[in-house]
This record gives sequence, C-alpha cells and structure tokens, in this order.
Amino acid sequence: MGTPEAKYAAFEEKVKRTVYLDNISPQVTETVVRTALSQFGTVKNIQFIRNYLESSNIPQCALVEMENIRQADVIVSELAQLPFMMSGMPRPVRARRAEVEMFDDRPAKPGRGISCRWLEPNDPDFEVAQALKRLTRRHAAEASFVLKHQLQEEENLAKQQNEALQANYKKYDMLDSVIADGTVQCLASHYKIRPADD
Amino acid sequence: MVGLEETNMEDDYFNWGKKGGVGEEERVQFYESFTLEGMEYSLYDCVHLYRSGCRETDIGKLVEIYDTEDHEKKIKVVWFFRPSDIHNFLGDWKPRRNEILLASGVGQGLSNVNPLEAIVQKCNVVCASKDERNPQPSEEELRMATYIFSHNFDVGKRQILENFPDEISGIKVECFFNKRNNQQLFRLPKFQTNLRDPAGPSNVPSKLELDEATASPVKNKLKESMVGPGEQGCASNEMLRLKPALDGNGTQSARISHGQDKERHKVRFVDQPHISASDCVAFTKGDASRKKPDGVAFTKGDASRKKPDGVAFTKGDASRKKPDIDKRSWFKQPSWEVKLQRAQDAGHLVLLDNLDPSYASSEVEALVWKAFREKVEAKMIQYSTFSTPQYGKAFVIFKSRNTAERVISELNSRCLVPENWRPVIGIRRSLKGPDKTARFVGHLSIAKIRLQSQREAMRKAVSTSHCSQPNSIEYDMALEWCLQQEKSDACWKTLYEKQVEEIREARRAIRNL
Repeated sequence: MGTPEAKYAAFEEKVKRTVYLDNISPQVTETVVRTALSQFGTVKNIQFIRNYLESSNIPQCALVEMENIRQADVIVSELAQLPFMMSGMPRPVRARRAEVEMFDDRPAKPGRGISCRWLEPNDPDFEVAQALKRLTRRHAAEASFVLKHQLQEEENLAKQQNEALQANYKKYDMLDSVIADGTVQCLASHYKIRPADD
Repeated sequence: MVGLEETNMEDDYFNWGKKGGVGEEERVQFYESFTLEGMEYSLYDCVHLYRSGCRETDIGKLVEIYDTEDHEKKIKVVWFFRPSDIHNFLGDWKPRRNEILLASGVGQGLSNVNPLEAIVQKCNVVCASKDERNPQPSEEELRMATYIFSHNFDVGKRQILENFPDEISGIKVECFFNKRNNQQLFRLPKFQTNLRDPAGPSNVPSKLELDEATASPVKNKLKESMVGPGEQGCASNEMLRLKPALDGNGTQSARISHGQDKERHKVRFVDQPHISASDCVAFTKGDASRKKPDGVAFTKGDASRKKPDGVAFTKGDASRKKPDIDKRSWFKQPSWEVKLQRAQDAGHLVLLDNLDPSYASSEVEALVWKAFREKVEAKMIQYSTFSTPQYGKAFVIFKSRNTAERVISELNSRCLVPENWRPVIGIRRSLKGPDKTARFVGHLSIAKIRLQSQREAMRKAVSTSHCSQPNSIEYDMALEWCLQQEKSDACWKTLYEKQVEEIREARRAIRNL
C-alpha cells in the first residue's frame, strides 16, 4: 500500500488499537508492561514516549499497540474501574485511547500542503504576529507552572500516604511482637483476662 | 390534573376495583384492580410511571396496590431497567432494539412505593426468556410488544443475569413471566367504564390496581434510594393496554384497541400525547412497532473513564532533515535519540513552537525547507499527558550551528507565518535525559519488608502488576491517587480552555487572514 491515503488510513487504524498509558514508574521496563497488559490480550508493540522537555521526575508514558480495537477498549474500561498497579503501589496506572498526535512517526495527512510566508516589520499584521508569539511563550510558562504545582501536590500526597502507612505498619508490628514474645500471655494472666484469639 | 382525592368529581376518573386482603393492623386495604381514567389496571400489569423532570418514563410492574388509612393510594412497583439506566454495568451485553431488563436480587433499585397518580399508562412488555417457566411468546406478540425482556439485572450484585431466580422481591417469578392462556385478561378498551374483565379475578390472586400517574413518582433506581416493602405478585408481561395518556387534557383519545387472542393480548401502542401535568412527559411510542430503547448509551468505559482531557503538547523534536534516501542506505543511521543528543551538544538543535499539533514530522521538514531553504531533520514531539493541546512543538536538527543561530534570529526578528496563521517560534531548549533512578512519587514501600523480601516470592510480587481489589489498604490509597489525578486533569482542562480563548482573542486582530 503505497498511496498516502492508504498509509494514513492504516495509521489511523493502528491508532485506534493503541492504548496510551501514563503514570508509569520510571523503573518499569517494556517486559513489565508487556506481561501486565497481556492479561487483556495480545500486545503487539510497546513504545515508551521519551520525555525531552520536562524534568526527569515526571512519570513515564507509553503507547501500547494491541491486536484489535476491542482489546484496547477492554483495557481502557478495566483500568477505569479498578486501580491497576504496575511495579509497586499504590499509584495506579491510567489508560486511555491513543490519539494521532501521540505518534511522532505519523504519516502526513494526505491532501494538506504546507505553505508559508514571511512577514516583514512593515507588514500591517506584523504586530499581531508578534503578539501571538508572545502569547505562545506565556502559555508555555503557564503550563510549566501548573505542572510544577501538580507535581508538588502529588508529592505531598505520597508523603502523606507514606506516613500513614508507616505508622500503621509500626502498630501492627508492635502488636505482632507483643503477641509473639508472650507479653500478652503474661499480662493476661496477671489481669485474669483470657486473651481472645483474634 | 393531579391526584384527585375527591373522586366524586369524575366518576370515571378513578375507582377501586376488586378488593384484596387487608394489611396488618387493618390500616391498609389492598386491591387487585382499579380503574383510572377509564383504563383498568390489574395487579401485575406493567405500567409507565412518570418521573418529574424526565422526558422518559420509567417502566415498572405493579406488585401491590393499596389504600392507606389516610386514603392515599399507593402502588408498589418492581422496576424494569432500560439499558441506558445501567450503562455502567452493561459490559459486553448488547441489548436488542427495545429490550429492557427486569430488576432482581436484593438492594436499591429493585422496587418502590409510589403514589398511584404516578402511573401514566399501561405498557406492553413481553418476556422473551427461554426459561421453562415462561410461556413462550409467539412471533406476533414479540413483534407487537413495546418492550421485551429476557434478562434480569441483579441490583445487589450489579450484574446482568440470564437465569431468573425463583422469586423477585418476595413474589414468585412466574408472576413476572408472560401470563398463561387461562390467565389472560380481556379488557375492552372502554373509556368510561369500570368494567372488569370477568377473567380478572382468576388471573391474579390479589391484584392491586393503580391508576394514573400524574404525580411524579419517587423512583428508585440505582442512583436513588428507597426500597419498597416486600411485595407480592408476579409481574408477568401481561398484556398491557395502552391507555391513552390523557389525564386531563382529553387531547388524545388514542385508544388502543387490543385484539384479544387466545394466547396473549397484544397491545398496540399509539402515539401518546402529553400527560397533562405541568411538566409533561412526552413519550411517544411508535405505533405498533416497538419503541427503540432510548439511549442505549452504554459506553465501554467512556462515561466512567477518568480520562484526562488531552493535554496535548506535541513537542516538536528538533527536526532533523534526513539525508537523501539512497545515501541513507549506505550506512546505518544512528537512532533518533543519539542524533538528538549529538545535535544538542553541537548546538544544532532548535525547538520550534506554536506549530499546528496535527503536523507530521515530514510536514515540519517541508516547512523549514520552504522558509529557510535548509534541509533539516525534524520530529514532532509526541503528545503526552503534559502537552498543551493547542501547541505543536518539534525538534529540528540543523546542519550546523550557524544555521541554527541564523534561523533563530530570523524567526525572532521577522515572523514566519504558515497558512494557518500561527507564527513559528524558534528557541533553544536543552534536552532532559531519561533518568531511571528518578524518584517516582507515589510508590510506597515499607522499609522493613524491603529488607526481608529478598525472597524470590516477594520480589516477584512487586515486579508484576495487578488490579487492586476494594478490600485492601492500597485500594483506598489508590483511590486517593485517582482523586488527585482527576483534580489535576480538571486544572489542566481549565487552563487550556482559557488559553484557547486567549489565542482566539488575539487572532481577531488579524486583518489579512
């Protein structure tokens, strides 16, 4: 299939079959993803999306191509209903349908030609163009600010959960050790209470 | 025309029919039938009930009809679900055109007590289940039915089941199936009459009749609350008479004439007018042909998906111009990442911003060629969770540092404007490398356990993936994360909407578009 239309159609079909995952830990490798998602069907291809522009602390994302649309749908709906953990918990992995812009090797949409022109400073619309450029920069700054804020919140949440978890664990640990080394028995006989078995 | 307590007003508006038993403490009088606006209803009839604020009526089967001490007429109904009502739980099940589901099991959504005035009219529901207790309907009946059902939805387990339990809501399931021949009710569609079908009493042991539905019932669906008391009565898909939805406007005298046949009564539905009540329920049924199930809107997870709205940044990668094809085959090309890194080090890398996000890498290259007469390699940055949807970015790798510098300065001083009027920006951005040791926020571990878990089993457990079940601590924590994600998504969405608006504003000033 050589014609651009056919190529593009095939590409679109591939997009439909692909699932986009994010919130993946950086430690997760391709095999892990493959094993994980093969519960839902046949995984044909996995591509991690390289993150070039943001700081390295953000979670990974991946594009997973499945065998057919139905499998992709199943994954998306399953992950929407139950939190799915990969390589650690409790931060769940999110899935959604892939979109055309997620693929950087996509073929050009047939029928679109690229043309451009230069605007000189004396052009009436030059100012507008400059304003648009400034707007772009501002938006980019806004976006990165929001991102920073989001990462901060996520970190807070994680810290909070961690503390709760550690505290709980310590409690259980203490209970365990107390039962194990007989303290409970001693105390029970001292106070004449029968220790319950639970 | 809402709830007439004074039945003297119109003698034919409402009348009780056959009495049933008496409730406990003799405070409640059960009935087996009643007439409402000339239509007679019996126990186990299927009816439409009006829900205020909704254009659609709900369908239920009358399982109890009674009159309280304060002379409030009440009915108890077991509900039928439309596929759209339970679209979250449909899964793979694809309903037929006019298929509904009977409620079963125990839980919210099974049944409700409503004022009798909530009845709009009868409904012809036929049971098409292959259950042996169900008298099988004929082809004709199936065709004439307004709705059919062959599955039931367990409200407790929230599942669609094909097998019918022995009883639903305390009533034997046979009452919910189609009526048998000898139980057929024959009612003439008389307008002003209380004529009861002589066969009536034999049909159902104690019928409660409910009439009319102008008041809005409190419907108990899965979303709402309220479970009716235990009822009796089997709801079978008996023949339903379509009562012209007249209440009070008298507009429509669409009488449904139902033909009686030995096996079942078919009910023909005619288009119904509004119910008079102030908020009219305007449901129309197709004539004799069945009504389509409304909004079979079960979406596989669409509604339930907590998807972020596209944060689409298509960051463009420094576009590198590919060398000619034939040359390329002579020596192996290093991978894109390697190229990127090299270009970065050598100062050849430029990031183009404010591109149309739908550009393909080749188009970016074409653009650069047209503008600068430079062959470059370009790659659009993939759209991921953190990309802005309205801005496309691409990395471009130029041949030399000077070219890169020149391009940037030109883009700054003049304005390169492609046909979509988005002036291109060129900047230098440094690449961030992948960092495997980066801390991933959100994965917790217990220090002690980590030390102990040198054992194979534990290691395996962590390295695989699983779906968390609602009975563990991690589930709660995972839900907290989900909540956090949703919040972030909402933030992004608002931001992008605002940005789109700002762009639009700015573009309004363009004169020569």
